[in-house]
Order: sequence, then structure tokens, then C-alpha cells
Amino acid sequence: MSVLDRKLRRELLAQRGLLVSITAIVALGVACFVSMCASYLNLLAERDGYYRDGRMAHFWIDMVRMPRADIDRLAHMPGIARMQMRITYPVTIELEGVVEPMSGRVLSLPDPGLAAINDIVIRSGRRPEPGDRTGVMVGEAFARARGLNVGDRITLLMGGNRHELRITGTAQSCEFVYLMAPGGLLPDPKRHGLFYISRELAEDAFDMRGAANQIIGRVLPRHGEYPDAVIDPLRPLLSPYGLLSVTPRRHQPSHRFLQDELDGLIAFAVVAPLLFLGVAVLVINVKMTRLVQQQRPIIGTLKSLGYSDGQVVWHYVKFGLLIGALGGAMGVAGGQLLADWLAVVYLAYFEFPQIESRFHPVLAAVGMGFSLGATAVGTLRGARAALRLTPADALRTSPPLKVRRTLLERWPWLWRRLGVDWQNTLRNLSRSHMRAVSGGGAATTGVAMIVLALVYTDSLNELVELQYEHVMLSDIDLTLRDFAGPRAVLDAANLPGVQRVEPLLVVAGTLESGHRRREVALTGLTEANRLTQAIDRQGRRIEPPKRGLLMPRWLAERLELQPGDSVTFTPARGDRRPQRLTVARTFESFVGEAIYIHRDQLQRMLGSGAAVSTVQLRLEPGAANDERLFDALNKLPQVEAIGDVQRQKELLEQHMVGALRIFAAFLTGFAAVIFFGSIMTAGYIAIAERQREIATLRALGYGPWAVGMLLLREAMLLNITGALIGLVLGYYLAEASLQIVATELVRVPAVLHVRSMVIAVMLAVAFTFIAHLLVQRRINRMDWLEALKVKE
Amino acid sequence: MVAPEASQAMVQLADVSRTYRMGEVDVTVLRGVDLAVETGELMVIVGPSGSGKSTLLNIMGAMDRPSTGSVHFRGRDIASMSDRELTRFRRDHIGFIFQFYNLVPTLTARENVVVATELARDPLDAAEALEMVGLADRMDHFPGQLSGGEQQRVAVARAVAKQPQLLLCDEPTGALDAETGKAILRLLVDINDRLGTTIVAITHNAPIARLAHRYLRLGSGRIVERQFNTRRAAVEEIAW
Ligand SMILES: Nc1ncnc2c1ncn2[C@@H]1O[C@H](COP(=O)(O)OP(=O)(O)OP(=O)(O)O)[C@@H](O)[C@H]1O
Ligand SMILES: [Mg+2]
Repeated sequence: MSVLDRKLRRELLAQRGLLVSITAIVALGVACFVSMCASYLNLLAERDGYYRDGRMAHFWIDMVRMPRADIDRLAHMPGIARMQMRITYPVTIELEGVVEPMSGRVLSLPDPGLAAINDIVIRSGRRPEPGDRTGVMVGEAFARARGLNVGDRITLLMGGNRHELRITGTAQSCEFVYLMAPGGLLPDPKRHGLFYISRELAEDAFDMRGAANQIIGRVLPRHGEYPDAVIDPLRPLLSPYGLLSVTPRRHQPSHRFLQDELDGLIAFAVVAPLLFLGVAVLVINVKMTRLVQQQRPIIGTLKSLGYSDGQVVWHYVKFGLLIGALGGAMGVAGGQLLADWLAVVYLAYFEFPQIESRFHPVLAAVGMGFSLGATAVGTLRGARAALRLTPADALRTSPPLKVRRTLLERWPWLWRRLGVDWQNTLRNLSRSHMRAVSGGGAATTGVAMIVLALVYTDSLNELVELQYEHVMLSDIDLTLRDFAGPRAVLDAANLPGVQRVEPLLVVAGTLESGHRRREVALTGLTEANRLTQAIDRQGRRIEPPKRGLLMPRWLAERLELQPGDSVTFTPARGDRRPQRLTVARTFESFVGEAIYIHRDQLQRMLGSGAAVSTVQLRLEPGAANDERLFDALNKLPQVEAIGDVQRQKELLEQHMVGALRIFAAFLTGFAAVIFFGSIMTAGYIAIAERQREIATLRALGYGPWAVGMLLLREAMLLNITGALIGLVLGYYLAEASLQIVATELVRVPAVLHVRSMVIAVMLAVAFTFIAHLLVQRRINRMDWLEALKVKE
Repeated sequence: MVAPEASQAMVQLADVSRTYRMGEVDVTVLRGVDLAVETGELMVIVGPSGSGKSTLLNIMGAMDRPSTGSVHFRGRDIASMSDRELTRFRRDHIGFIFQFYNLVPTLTARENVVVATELARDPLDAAEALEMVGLADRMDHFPGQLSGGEQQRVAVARAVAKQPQLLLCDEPTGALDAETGKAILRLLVDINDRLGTTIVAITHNAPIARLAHRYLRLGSGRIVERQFNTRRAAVEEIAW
């Protein structure tokens, strides 16, 4: 090892505290990048493999009933690769000892020996044999959540009858990687499951002999991404069978959720490292500029000895690159560990048979490249100064620090009022603009990260409050099997613990505007509905319009509609005649895609008898745990599904609290690292540069804390200014990222409460103070008598 | 002035001027200096602060270029060399000693010497060089653990270890007291005597000029006095 490398090593070791804190910033940036990108690639690889092996469908078509033989009439349609039919229905579930309502989806299994579309992965046991009328295969997630095993018994309410079935095995499927109950926002494996039964049992239970109600299919590879051109021509052929909906893969809920998650990951994988590496560049820049300035005589001596400019510059660049290499390596390793952990976390959210956390050499290389690049850029200014210094100049004693007149001094009346202490502080800060930018910039970034976490927390709280205290006020929603008459409402009103009952009429169908088409559901309300309502931005109720649609703004935008425009709605029920409707008004909707319409108008549209599709219940306090209520609910014959609305709120809050707490802890930790790195760099440099000033003050009788106060005042001014900018930056960052992660199901409005702003600034102050204690320690230990003797 | 090839001078300066641009004004620091440094001589340059001594020394040592005029080293024109050639030239021929030693504080005495020998073509062993300046037993000490005089001796060892043809000293005793200062001077005289190294030394301290074969006095960028010492004083005789 060359002696100069030895010099480098000793200098680095002597400043290891500083080194660690700068390296940590770099490492975090790289770790964010590597872990997010790796998670993205892992999830993507897992999904693609799962889809390929399970032959994931490209489209789903729901109908009322279609004879199995008739599928052959469609098979020749251009672009279709394969199709398969099955019977699928929502079901309710009964289990020994479970009071709360549980729902699920039952699916008939394809004939054995077939290379099935949406093939299942068996996790335990086996499939029910063809013709087995008592066996059921249970979705792995539900089985796990309920502790069910092969051989256990379970009762499904299918087609109005109770079927007591024996569990033959458990399974997962690529079409239900993310499984939500209808109307839900989060998976709830305790309350909602999948059930695979033999075709024969399904045909018996749902009175579907020789028929089915769903087609799943795959198109030829060239149509894979966008199968609409292939499936649209099927619509007219299918309408005789009571076509309900056509769902291309990109609209399929499980696929959509996974895709949204992937998109979000990529967005963060780009933004987060930029923040860290940006701060790292600033801090290293300050450090290197100072180092070169401080070592002017050594640089001159080296040059006088015959070291070339290149050798000298390389010596200093190595300083930065070492930080880059170290931070990069730590970041890559840490990012990989984080990715491993995220793979486990994702396995709890998404139902994959496994998520393998792979090592991606490309990411490691790019991560190292980023960190080396950022630190190289950071060293550039200092290294360039070393290069520009002619040997003769380097040896001249360095010019005294320039003290510039600060901007404020242009207003003498204000300047005079500041007092000597503050005048000094401002002058010191204006010595080097780069340092002020670096210190302020670090604080801005740090606070922006904290604000990001706080905006997420505030916004999600706001969302839950809006949604469950203003929009959806029911406790339980009963989905009825057929559009029942007012009787159903009366029945429900007589249940124990029920305080209020309201009917809804929800009708699925297709909305068409020009060439745009979308599967939607219209929710029919009257002025009397209180448990479901639309609200405006201020949280005030919007009455359902007498005529026309009340539509979420984002949906109207997507369909390129404005109030006053007209659209065609083809209901999937009743006589299915296309109807012209106008868009009466749009409103801000954060959750779901409900379109409201007056119930009278909807009823007139459907014609005969259609009255109620959903009954909403508001319970008396405490009734939610009443066994008698659920017993009675389960016995209601017309009920197809029981939705526990408040359970959704609970789930949302639980998940949010957990996930956000981790997120906030991470971001706050990140912010702390940034604050420490920046303040220690600035503090140590200030001590070294102003050794004589500090020593003189000490000699004059100032205590170490009084001297430290001078530095703390500068740090505070800089960091609080930076923090205030960080508040704004953080908010806009959060808003932008919320827009990126907004999905059709959930759009979170960005909210930042005053309380959160105060917390963010207080944290900034606390970090500044704690980091300053390390600087203070150095002042306390400083041998100021020695410092007075040293010649510059 | 004598043509370079006609003389045995090691360094030959002809009509050298150096001007610095300070914002709007030009400051002329050296004005038409003619000077020849003979091989093997010990030359001392004295003069008041700001008279251009360091500037002159830097130009002789290929650290700086004259604004006008020529500088020849053993017949080679160094004023027109590229930066790269100047670096090479310093590496091969020149040794420097500074007023404030300029040691690397994070390297030991020996390592500070190695910084120089690593680059040199035919260096002395670092230990040998340190032994020569009487620091054999302090080789593994850091500069912070050495006195000023000892540090300057390390700097002498660093300069000498390269086996330079020309040793340039910018106020080598400027930061030292009489005793330690004299010890350093003794070393320099010894190096000049025994190794035959050509030495040019700057000093504020006029009596030191009595040690030299020849001394110059600089004033406002001009050589105002040139003297041969018919009898060189011994170091002990110098009043500090
Ligand atoms: N790079 C520079 N830019 C501007 N002026 C310079 C530069 N280098 C030297 N000078 C000026 O040139 C003059 C001579 O400087 P020099 O260092 O040669 O003097 P000196 O005789 O060595 O003085 P001292 O005894 O104080 O070391 C001084 O006035 C100095 O300010
Ligand atoms: Mg000088």
C-alpha cells in the first residue's frame, strides 16, 4: 500500500463518526433502490411464472346461464386460443363455533386431465373427484386463517340450500393472488374464502345441469395485453345467455391490485434514492471542499515533490469514492436483506405459493454505480480545487476566510436590531453558500421524509373517517339473491338489535360513451337513504339527482364525460334494453366506483318488480357482537352475501396502523441519518476552521457550552429554515406519490394537519439538538490552549 | 549575460519578471532578474518581506513560470515546459524545504520520507535519510509527537532522500529558535559539503548569509546586492 493510501486510511479512521454518518446516507439511498427494484423484479417474476404455470385467463365472461354445448359456437371466433366454462357463485359459510358472517366464492373444478385455465396449485390433500358431491377444496388463505385441515367439515349455503361438505384439500390460484370480498378494500381471509367443488356438485346445487355461468378464456399471444378486440365481438353472441359482464385481465381485481403495487414500487424506487443521493452529494461536496482547503500546504508539498496533478486529484477523489464504495456495498447488502424481508411481508398480502427473493446482479451493479457516481459528483468541486491550485499558490498561506456582507445588512435598521450574536450567526452562514445550501437542503430532505409519513397517516385517517362516517354509515349490508320486493326490508327490520333499515337498488351493467365502454354498477338511492350517500369536498351530503347520474369525477374524466353529456347504460338485469342517461353532476369520490342515480328512475328503467338488491342495516350499539343477530341473518332465505361494513373499517385501520407505523419509523430513521450526517459534517468543519476563534473565546472565559451555543444557533437557523421548506416539499411529494399510487378503487386525498407540521418541525429541532451534542462533545474535549499555540 | 552552454551554471535565469494580476491591477513581483546558480554552491537570498524571494525560489524550482524571461536548468529551458514536464522535472531534480515543514500529520517520520522516495528514480533509503539527520530513533513518531526542529529535520530528510541536484529552502529556520535553527543550518552546510548538493536558501535573518559561498539581496523584485563571501563563517559564529 502506498504511503498516501495510508494517509487516506488514517484520515478516514480519524473521522469515522463523520464517515459513518455520510456513508449511511449513501447506503440508505442505495438500499432503497435495491430493495424496491428487487421487490419489483421478484414480484414480477413470481407473478409471471404463476400466470404462466397456471395458464392465467385473459378474460372472464359472466352470464346468467349458458348450456355447455354452446361454447363450441364461440370457439372459432378469431383470436381466441382456448375457452373453458365453469359455475361460480358467491356463497355464505357456516363453521362450528363461528358467529360472525363469512362469505366466499365457490367455483366448479374443470374436468380432470385438462390443461386447465386458471389452474389451481394444491397445497394440501387433493381435489374432490369428479362426481364427488360432498368434497370441497378450500382456498389456502381461508384454511390457514381458520385453522382448517383436510377432513374437517364446513357448511356452504349454495342456491338457498345448506350443504355440509368435507374438506379434501387446500389450494391457491393465480387468479386470486389478491382476494377481496365484493365491496371490500382489503383481503380478509378470516371472513372470505374460495371453495372449489366438483362440476356435478355445482350443477346440482345451483340447478345448472349441463350449463355454466362463466367463461374463462385465453387469446392468441399477439392479443395478450389487450384482448378487447377479440372479446368484444363475442358480446352479441352471448347476450341470449344473459350476459352480465366481460372482464379483461387488466380490470380483474386481483391482477389490478398486483399491478398497482408494482407501479407504486417503481415510483418509490426512483424517488427515494434520488433524495438520499442528492443529500449525499451536497454533504460530500462540503466535506471535500473543506478537506482540500485544509490540506493546501500538503497539496503544495506533494506537487513540489513531483506528484502530478492527476495523482493528487486521484488521492482526494479516492476519499469520496471510498465512501461511495462502502456505502454502495452496504446499501446493496442492506437492500438485499430488506428485499428478503419484503418478500415475506408481501407473502402476507398476496397469495402466492411462494415469493422467492432473488439476488439481481444488475441491481447491485446499478446501485454501486449510483453510489459511486453520486460520491464522485460530490467530490468533484473539491477535487477540482486541488487540480486548479498551482504548486506555488498551494504553498502560500491560505487566504483568510472571506466574510461577506449578508443580504440583511442592506437594511441597516433591521440589521442593527438583531444584536451581535445573530449578526455573527448570519455572517458565518453567509461565508459559504454551498454549505448553507447543503445544511438547509439536508434539513429540507429530512423533514420532507417525515412529512411524507405524516401526510400518509393523516390522509388515510381522513379517508377512513370520510368513508365510514360520511359515505357508508351502515354496519351490515345484505346482498339479496334476486331483486326482492319490500318484504325483504320488513324482514330485516324485525331482526334483533337492528336500529335502522334502508333498501338500495344496485344494478350492474355496461356504460358506453362513444367508443368508451366500462362495466359499472348504478346505485339507486332516494332522499330517504341515510346509510349510503355521496358527499362533496366539504363533507356535505349531495342529494341524489331526480334525473340523471351522479358520477365520481375520476370516472367521468376517464370516460371523457362532463355534466350534461349523455351516455348509454345497458343493465345486466331485467329486460336489458339500452337506456340513454345524462350525467347530472360529478362528485369527489375517494373509495370505490359507485355511480348514484335516483332509485325511482332506476326502477322505471328496469321495469317489472325490481325493487331492492341490497338491504343496509344500522345496528344498535353492542349488537354487532350479538350471536342471535347473525343466526337470524344466516337464516334469511333471500340473502346471498352478508357484508360487514364496519369490519372493513376495522381492517383498514389495523392494516394502516401497522403498515404506517413501520413506514413512519423507517422514514423518521432515514431523516435522523440525514440530519446527523449533515450537522456533524458542518459542526466538525466549523470547529476545525474556527479553532482559533473558539480557543480565543475559551481563553476569554467562555465555557464550552457557551461556545457550542454559537454553533448550535447557526445549525438551528439553517435547519429550521430547511425544515419549513421541507414541510412544503414533503407535502407536494406526498401528494404526487399519492396520485401515483391512486387506483380505481382507492384515491387518497393529501391531508396534512397542523399538529403533524408541528411534530415534523419539533423532530427537526430535536435531531438538530441531539446531533449537536456530538459536536459539543468535540468542543468540550478540545485542547484550546494547544489550539492557541498552533500557527495557521 | 553569459550564454547557458558557455557556463557550468546549474540554473540560469535571464531577465526574469513575474507579474500577478490582482483584479484590475497588475502587481509586478520580480523585475528583470538575471542570476546563475553554480553547481555545488550554497547560495543565500535575503531581503525584506514581500520582496519576491519566495517567488524567485519557486521559479527556480519549476513550481512557477516567469511572466517573461528564460530559466534554464543545465541548459534545458524549463520556462517553456508543459505542466507535465515540470512535474517530472521537479520529481527528478528538485528538493524543497519549507518554513513550516509541511509534513503530513497522519504519517510517521519515516512515512513522510517515503512519500518522496516512492516517486524518486534513485532515492536513499528512508531510514538512512532519517539517520543522516539524527532521527534514527524517532522514525515511527508522528509529526505531532516531534518538536519543531525535529519536524524540520524530517523535512530535510524528505528532501535529501530524493537525492536532488538542487535543494531549495524557503526560510528553513524561520519558525525555529536559535539552537534548533543552527542545527538545521549545520545539516544544510553538511549536505552541501559532503554530498555536493547545490543549495539555495532564503532567509530573513541576514547573518545567515555569512554561511554561503555567495549571497543576494532582493529589494522590490530586483537584485540589489550580490556578494561573494571570501571567508565563510562557521555555523557557531552566527549571531541569531
Ligand atoms: N499568487 C499570487 N497572487 C498575487 N500576489 C502574489 C502571489 N504570490 C505572491 N504575491 C505577491 O508578491 C509579492 C512577493 O511575494 P513573495 O512571497 O515572493 O515575497 P517574499 O519575499 O517571499 O516575502 P516573505 O518574506 O514575506 O515570505 C507579495 O507582495 C505577494 O503578496
Ligand atoms: Mg516568502
